Amino acid sequence: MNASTILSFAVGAMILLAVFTLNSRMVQNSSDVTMDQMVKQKLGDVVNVVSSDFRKIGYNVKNGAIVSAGSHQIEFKSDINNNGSVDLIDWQYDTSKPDLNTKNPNDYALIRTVNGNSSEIDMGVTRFNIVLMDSLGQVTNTLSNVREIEVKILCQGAEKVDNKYNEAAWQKTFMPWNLK
Amino acid sequence: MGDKSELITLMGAMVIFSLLLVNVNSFLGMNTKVQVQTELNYTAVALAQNIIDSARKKAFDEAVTDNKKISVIPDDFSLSLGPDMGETPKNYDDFDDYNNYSRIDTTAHEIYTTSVKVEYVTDSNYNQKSLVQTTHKKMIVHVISPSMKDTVVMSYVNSYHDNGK
Repeated sequence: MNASTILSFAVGAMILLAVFTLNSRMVQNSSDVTMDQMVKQKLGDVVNVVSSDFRKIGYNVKNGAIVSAGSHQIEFKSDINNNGSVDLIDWQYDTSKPDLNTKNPNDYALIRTVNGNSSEIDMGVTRFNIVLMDSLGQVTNTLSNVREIEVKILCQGAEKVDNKYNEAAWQKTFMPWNLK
Repeated sequence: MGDKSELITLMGAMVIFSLLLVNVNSFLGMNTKVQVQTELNYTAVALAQNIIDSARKKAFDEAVTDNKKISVIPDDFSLSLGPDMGETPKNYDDFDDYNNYSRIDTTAHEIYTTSVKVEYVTDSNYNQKSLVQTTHKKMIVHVISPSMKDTVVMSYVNSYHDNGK
């Protein structure tokens, strides 16, 4: 075997290794992008429902719009369908109900209950925090003083990509017109 | 000669392959950047919307706070826009108090700086600034962050109706 053959083998092996690495990176990146899109899509879906409900807090309600609230839960009254009857809506992030459809151990069920009818939102939500604030923007626990509601949501992917879960975060302070 | 030409061909191929690798790597890097930018923009829009939501609940002008009435519309509105004496963001009571307002928000992934401008706009064109009072005020919110490539800009036009809003 002469020197040029050995050199050819060495170069060939290097190129082959580079091609394999490149292919592996492409596959990983593709998975990463796909998973990231999925997480963002899921977060977007949750945000749409949350925003639709939270903006209407207290609509057509004379007083006592917020019935109960905690850091992961809020129950409020609103004429959510604009049909003249006041509905009771409850949002709860239930950390006793893990999402069994995913391999991610961090995601739990977000439960939306309207007039006693619950629907479970399994969208990879790993954090759902609520902070109540008064008209001065100060944190308050007195429900009648609540004028602003800060919501923070974090969603994670169903499976790990590159040994980590993809994340998408969102936060918003709602100032419902009817909390006055 | 034969050996040399093979070597040159091989080296040429390697150069081409290296260029391909560099391009693919930069493409992957760009992909990641776009992912991050989308995430940052998403939150930036929410932060801008927060300020707009907060301001739109306030009275149109200091002159009509607490359901006060004015006799000449729009001449009785404030000509200078911004917070009045002693007003802080916590007790802003009218829409234009937010003029030159800025704040810093720290989220899970980034630190955002938000700045606000409020100006009168003409009745016929909401994109045209008016130097005199009109019944329309436009709020322009800019959100920037160290990692964001572009500034997120949102605007909202508040029009005066005789109910004080």
